Amino acid sequence: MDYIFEGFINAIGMITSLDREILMITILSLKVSSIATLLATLIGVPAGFLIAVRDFHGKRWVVLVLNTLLSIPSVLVGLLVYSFLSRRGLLGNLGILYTPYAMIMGQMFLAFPIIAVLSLSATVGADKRVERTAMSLGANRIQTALLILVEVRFAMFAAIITGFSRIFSEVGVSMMLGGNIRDYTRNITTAIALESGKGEFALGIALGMIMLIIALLINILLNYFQGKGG
Amino acid sequence: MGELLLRLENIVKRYNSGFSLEIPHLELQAGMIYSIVGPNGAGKTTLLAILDLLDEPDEGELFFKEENVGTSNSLEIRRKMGMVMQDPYLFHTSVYRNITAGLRYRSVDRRIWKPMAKEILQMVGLEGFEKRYAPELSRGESQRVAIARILVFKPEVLFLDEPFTNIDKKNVTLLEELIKTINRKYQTTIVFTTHDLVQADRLAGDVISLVEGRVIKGSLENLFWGDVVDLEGLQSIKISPNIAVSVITECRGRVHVSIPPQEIKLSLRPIESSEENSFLGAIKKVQIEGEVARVFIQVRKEAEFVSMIPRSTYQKMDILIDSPVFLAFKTASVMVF
Repeated sequence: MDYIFEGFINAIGMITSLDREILMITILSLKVSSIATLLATLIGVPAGFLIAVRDFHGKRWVVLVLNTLLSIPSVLVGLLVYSFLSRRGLLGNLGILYTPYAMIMGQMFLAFPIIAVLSLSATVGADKRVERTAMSLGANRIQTALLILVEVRFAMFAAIITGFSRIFSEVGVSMMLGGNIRDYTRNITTAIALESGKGEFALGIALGMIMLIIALLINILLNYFQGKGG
Repeated sequence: MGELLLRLENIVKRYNSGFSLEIPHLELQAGMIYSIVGPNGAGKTTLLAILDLLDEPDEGELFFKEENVGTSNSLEIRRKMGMVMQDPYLFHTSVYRNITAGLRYRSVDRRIWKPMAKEILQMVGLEGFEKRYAPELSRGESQRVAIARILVFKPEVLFLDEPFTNIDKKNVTLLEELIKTINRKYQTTIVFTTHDLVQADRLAGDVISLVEGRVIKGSLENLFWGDVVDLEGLQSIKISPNIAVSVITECRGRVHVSIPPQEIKLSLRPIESSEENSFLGAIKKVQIEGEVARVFIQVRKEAEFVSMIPRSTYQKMDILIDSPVFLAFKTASVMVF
């Protein structure tokens, strides 16, 4: 067990000395997951909202599909996006496979159903009086929709944070679409997988600790928004 | 009579539960205070929502100042009215942002929001509340913020759905005064729903009675229902197993009957007349409202009648609670529908 203890001590040393590789990996992880979350939010929040407020043919099926996508394994998303981005794929000519852009795309597809479904739930759970109050105050349809969104903002933030935390900790998409290239597409999870395989525990433990700290911060934020929303 | 403000023609709104609101004709004049009274489930809130253009009727037409309301002008007309719900929803933000929401939707110049909000908060007795977090206010304060939020854009009609429910007596008095002030100061037409018939009479210039989705001409006090039967050659309606009210009607089957409280006379001796309904009862409660006394009389433990008589008459009769009394009303005064 000494090697784990030794790895732990070395990890603390790497973090406190702001090791260059750790910094690069952490920054890339945060950058990729943040952009992917932002894109998924831009599509997922309006999609969830519209599905909640509009009645259309096949709505139940759309909700069922979104709910199913919640439990999709990240390697499967990786595989699907890979099939599009590979040289023979539909988007092969973009040439973005094994780049951070491919990782963003994959993570976005992973976060989208989470954000959409939670936004849908937040909208459905919104107080029914909001819409009528807005209408009675003279709001038009767009103003009413925006007001509902503002009133469920805390639940929406919680949806976004949940989406972020899901993709920040995933490994399948990043590995398959990023390729784990050092100083380019290597993020926290792929680095941990690689270093553990090599028996280099110090870097893995250091990155694991950073991940835990970030997860803790995310959960503090989530807890705050859930409390506000409740 | 003021200007004709709202007119409903052949309005029908149906619900899956089987309930329907049916209003063949209803007019509201500008500058008046109306109260809509009726039991739970009578359709009061539905009627308010149709009048405020929040719900569309399944059939019929609504006119605002004789302009037919349709899809093209409904938003513009809705912006001339405002409704405070029974349990008003205040946005999760400051009182100020709540108050100015309607101004934002109407693109009112932001520079005048502050003085407008200040004036209206002063009017509803909440001066200095601008920065308070709205959801943390008391029920009575929330009610007044919700009213202020509508009043700030000076609507022509203010709808209040059960504004006196769940607020304490002090706030009821404040709200009653506020309603009168708003009507007087801005000539705002006010339509409110209530269960309290005495309050409706006291505040409103006109009382609209709703029963099972229909506007009735009679009073909600002394409202009974039963089957039309022939008793000794006279048409009667059995309102309880042992009480039959003589009526003149062409209706058949199950009907509602309403006897205006002011038509019910009280006497310590039996009243003999062929055209009178007369019953012996016991006084259960007396409410003095200014110069009027509302006397509640229990008959055979089966029905309660309300008589409205001048206060002086009641005092001259010198009758006490539980003392026997004869009540009588003319057959012709009984409304059947």
